[in-house]
Amino acid sequence: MSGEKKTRFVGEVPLKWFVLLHLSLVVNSLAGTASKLAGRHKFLSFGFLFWYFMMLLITMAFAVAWQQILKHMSLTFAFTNKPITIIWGLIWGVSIFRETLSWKMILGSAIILVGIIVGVSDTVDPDAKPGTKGQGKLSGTSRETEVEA
Amino acid sequence: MKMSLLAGGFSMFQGLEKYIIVWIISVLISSIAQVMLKAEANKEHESRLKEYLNPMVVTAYAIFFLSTFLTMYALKYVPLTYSPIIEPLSYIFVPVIGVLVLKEKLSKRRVLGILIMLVGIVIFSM
Repeated sequence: MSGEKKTRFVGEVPLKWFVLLHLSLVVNSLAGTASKLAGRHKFLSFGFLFWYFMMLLITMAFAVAWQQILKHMSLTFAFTNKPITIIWGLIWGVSIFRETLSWKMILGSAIILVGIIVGVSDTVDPDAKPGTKGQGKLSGTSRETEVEA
Repeated sequence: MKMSLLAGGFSMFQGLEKYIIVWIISVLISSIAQVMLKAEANKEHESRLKEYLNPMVVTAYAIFFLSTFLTMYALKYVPLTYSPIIEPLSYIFVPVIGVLVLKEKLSKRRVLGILIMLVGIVIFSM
């Protein structure tokens, strides 16, 4: 909708940071997979320690990214997107652990997606936003606080 | 005295409930840690390194670390099937604490989105 040269937004967040948020959430969901793999092994066995370490490693990578991502959006925005990790977890569960997929999981996933889309799409029009460069820090947040439905 | 009262109150909960509460506390403190991260992300830092190595962020991660142990401890007694009911509490805790502490505004639409997604999570885990 907006002009080609303008930064595109999802909700109040520049598209770039929205994509990075979702990449980080994929990484985050893999941490769950690693801890699940750890749980398959005896507590403190080699297998357990390996996957627990992997989980910490993935979590750390996520943590580094997360702190950057949070500079560019409100915490409520970031957290409204987070349940996507449940759907990623389902995808890893089915593909890696051969977990069975129930219709409730599919329906639940669909509703979660609808919830995310509804929760994330509230915004003022992009033209009302101040410049897009270097908006990350404080200004990004104060801009967010002015958004009212 | 106070401690024993607290312990007395705590032992009122039989078996499962006690560990479910431990789990909920774990989710609550990690939600508080999330808000701490955001509070620090809102500040300007001299260097990228200081965005990470500051008391607030380090404390937040210490809390996350503690929280993983609390959750694991609770999981020794509480079936994993409770997870989809207890873990999503963070989607309530974080926005509520975020609004209270960070003064973030929650639009009605976003609240609606969060409610829809909570319904989805419940159905997902039924």
